[in-house]
Amino acid sequence: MSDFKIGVVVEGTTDRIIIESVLNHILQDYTFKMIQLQPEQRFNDDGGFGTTGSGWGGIYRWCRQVVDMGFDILDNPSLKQFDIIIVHLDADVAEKKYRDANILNPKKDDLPCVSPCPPASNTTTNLEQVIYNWLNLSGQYFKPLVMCIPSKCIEAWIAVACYGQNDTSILMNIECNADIENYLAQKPAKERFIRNRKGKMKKLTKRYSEYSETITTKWNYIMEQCLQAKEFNDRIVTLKRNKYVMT
Amino acid sequence: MLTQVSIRNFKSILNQEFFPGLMNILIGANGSGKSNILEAIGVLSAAASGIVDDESLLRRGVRLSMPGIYKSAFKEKIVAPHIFFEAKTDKTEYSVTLDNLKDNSGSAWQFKSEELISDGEIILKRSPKQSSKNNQQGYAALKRIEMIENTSDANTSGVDLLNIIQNYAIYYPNTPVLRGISPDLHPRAPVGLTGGRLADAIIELQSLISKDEFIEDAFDDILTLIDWTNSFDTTSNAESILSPSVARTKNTIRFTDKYMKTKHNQISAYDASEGVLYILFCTALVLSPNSPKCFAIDNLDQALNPRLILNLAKLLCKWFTQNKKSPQLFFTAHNPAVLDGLHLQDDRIRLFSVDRNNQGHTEITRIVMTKELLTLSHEKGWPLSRLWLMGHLGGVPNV
Repeated sequence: MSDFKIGVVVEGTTDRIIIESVLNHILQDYTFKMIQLQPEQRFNDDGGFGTTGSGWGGIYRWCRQVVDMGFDILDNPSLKQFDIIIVHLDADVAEKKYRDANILNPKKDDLPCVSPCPPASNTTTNLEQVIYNWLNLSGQYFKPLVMCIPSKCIEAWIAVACYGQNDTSILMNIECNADIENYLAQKPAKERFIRNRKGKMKKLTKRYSEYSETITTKWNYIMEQCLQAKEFNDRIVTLKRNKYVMT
Repeated sequence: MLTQVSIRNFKSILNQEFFPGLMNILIGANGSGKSNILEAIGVLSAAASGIVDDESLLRRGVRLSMPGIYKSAFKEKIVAPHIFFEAKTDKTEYSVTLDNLKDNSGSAWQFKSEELISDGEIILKRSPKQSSKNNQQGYAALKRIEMIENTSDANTSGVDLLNIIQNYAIYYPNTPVLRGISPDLHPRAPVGLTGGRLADAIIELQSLISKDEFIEDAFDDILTLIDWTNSFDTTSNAESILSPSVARTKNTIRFTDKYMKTKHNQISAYDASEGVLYILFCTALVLSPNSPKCFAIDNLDQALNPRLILNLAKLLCKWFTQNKKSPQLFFTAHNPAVLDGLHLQDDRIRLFSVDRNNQGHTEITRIVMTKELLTLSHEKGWPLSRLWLMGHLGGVPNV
């Protein structure tokens, strides 16, 4: 049996690929089973993402759905079997309004919640509290919940891993750079993670998969450049340590 | 009944053991290793019967692979020298270590070790050192004959376990065979592995109705699942219901369509909905005294409407728990509705999710129906089918 059973709540498929690559580094001496809880794919598929949808709005709806189940997330009978539940949200969501995701009656009007950057951590702390509000939780740390809030988006980690050592300019305040997706979209076609077709961005799953091992091998370097990566790393390490100290 | 199964180094299964009940449902993503689990028991079955080769595997419904595929070969691990299988009942255990040849000659696999223990007594023990002679021959099969013939040495538990394992097979019905228009390449009694001789099996069961109230009731239960017919039987005279251009078997199943006028309402298995044929196939296997005592059905839910598979699952639970002569069943399913028909509060009905971990190893996890899950399912409106789709139970692809 795997050492860890991990549920991931992510904005989209490519985010899950990156997080899995990161976990392959942090939990390299362990085995784990990872199950994508959100986005939920519909089985009678019409190409959509289940009842909750994808993106940050999907994560909001997933959280509210968990609350609707009538149990605190920590006591939810079908979720408490997970050793870790990772909730991912890109920090740029802090700039959004609920209406942007077609959420007309939010639990609390706590978006936007962006703070000046640097430091990125002020905004990510605000955003964590927003997620706790979605889950009807008040405090800071709730095992097995682990927040993963890359700033401004998870593609910053890709940019560091793939280009940081040859293009140091991209490293400057990278966690406050709102233009990372465009940066990746402007790369030559053969190495492009994101395609920009008439202003519509498309993340290329194939490319994310191909480079997943790069993320794993360069995770220490990513952590040096991105404090949010370090934060995520430390939280997983703490849970890992707690599990094996307790058992 | 098998109460424990252990598998090591077989295909995607590095090292797993699980504790089956009487009726076992395996759910998981495509490629998670569900069929590998069923096939592992198939290889064990062949070993317990004395030889593991292409013929003995095919007979049990095990897919024939290239030799390099049988043994686990994960990137991070050294390829283990042997494949290990073990099955236990309450009193008996049989284990075997095998090595398949690396070339594609179709030769039988080699036995490295073999052990049969019954009531705490070692009935058979064979170590790798002793295996140089007759190493393609399993000794347990010979021991079974010896135990049966030597009445003073009548170790019934040991014989029972070998009987259970030896006759195991994986059934995977397909529509043309069920309709009787394609031959079953894997014939068996009461039905072939792909659904051949279904009409004959129904005739055999119907002949038992007068002697067995359980079968009589079961036949009545079947009609509750089929809303377009009010009766079915078999005939050897299919001229009036089957086009002369259609291939046929000696006997044909005949249904009465309740919406049609008399003389126009008799239809054959060839023309009937395929769903009803899959139901009858399950019925024949579960109720027939000629069925193996332990068997598997891969993709039990194919061709069935969600509401129909839900009700079939309910019916199977009823039959398995009420019939003292029930065989042991393993089946795989992909339709979430099947979960809502399972009476998982009964410990004999067991649900397992099958997943692969980050290194690709197949893992089997039993999903126990706790009081809290029951509350969630029955009182709060979150049935298992929904929880499965949501990923809470595992057994879903990360897509």
